[in-house]
Amino acid sequence: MVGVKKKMVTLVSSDGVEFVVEKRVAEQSLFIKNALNEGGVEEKVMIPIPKVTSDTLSSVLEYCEKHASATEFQENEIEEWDKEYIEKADLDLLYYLLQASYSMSIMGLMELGAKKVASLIRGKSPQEIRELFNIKNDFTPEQEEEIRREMQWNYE
Amino acid sequence: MGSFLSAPVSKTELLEDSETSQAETCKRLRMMVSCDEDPRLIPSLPDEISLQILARVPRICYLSMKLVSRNWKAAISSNEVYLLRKELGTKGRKKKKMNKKKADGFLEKMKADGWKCWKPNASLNGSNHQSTCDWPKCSYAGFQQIWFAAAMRSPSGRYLVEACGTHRRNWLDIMKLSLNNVVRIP
Repeated sequence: MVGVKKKMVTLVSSDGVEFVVEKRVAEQSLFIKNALNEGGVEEKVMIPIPKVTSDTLSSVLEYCEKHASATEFQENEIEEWDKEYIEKADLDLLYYLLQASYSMSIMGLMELGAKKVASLIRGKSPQEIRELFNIKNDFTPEQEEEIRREMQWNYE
Repeated sequence: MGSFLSAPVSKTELLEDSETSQAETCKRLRMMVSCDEDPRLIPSLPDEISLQILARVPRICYLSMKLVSRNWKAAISSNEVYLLRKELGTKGRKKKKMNKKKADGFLEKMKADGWKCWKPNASLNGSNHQSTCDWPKCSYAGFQQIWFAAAMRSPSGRYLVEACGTHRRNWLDIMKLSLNNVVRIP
């Protein structure tokens, strides 16, 4: 009876770690929002998040927490925060965040991560891109030359 | 489990490749999910995510991207990336150029009609031009970009201003603005 108690949800990462978060934070994920709507269960909800480890999930929830209270901030404040948040993620974490946001349907985070990786590709040579993502070059030198020539035609 | 994994590995002849010995979880996952010979665009990510990434790289990088691998070349030439780009609005580049041209044309015409022109150092928000827009003479909005010419009144007289900048929703809601030209109205 002492004020309205915040609705909480428990998320369980793939390695079995439990995260208790406010419902409005968890609902930043459409996947969870739908799960909650379908379930219709009010109390003590446990939602397993498959394929997302506790390290990644805690980072994802950091994002959700900020964006759940986005209305309290100026738009450029959120933009600044997003920038800093994604800047400190290394490539491995970026991969995990992208996969998590994809499977959990968190569109904002997906957009943020995809843009960040796209910015890493920008301005790099083919070899640098291969090294960045660990991709094998399966062109023969002749084929490579042919593509270069083809592209040149397009620009002339 | 070991035998299950070894089948696709030998099939794709990745065994000689020392890099695969890193055995990342993602790679293992990939082999369990798809046994086909095509490697992924970005080995650590599912292709649907990689395509989202590729669609967000500016077109000027396409030559480099096409030369990465056969897969990348096919993906970048694909309809899928084209449609994603369209959806994202990054294809608005062409449109933007046309609008800029129109705005430039308008300014040229004004100059030809005898407007005097001087280039200021001060920004629109600076002390020199704290006046508000009288009326927008023309405005062209492309994807998050805007070019416009407007008549402005300040204590020292009336000016025609040509500016370009980024906007949030429409030309009234401009976030960043750079002044290209200020024409003094005689």
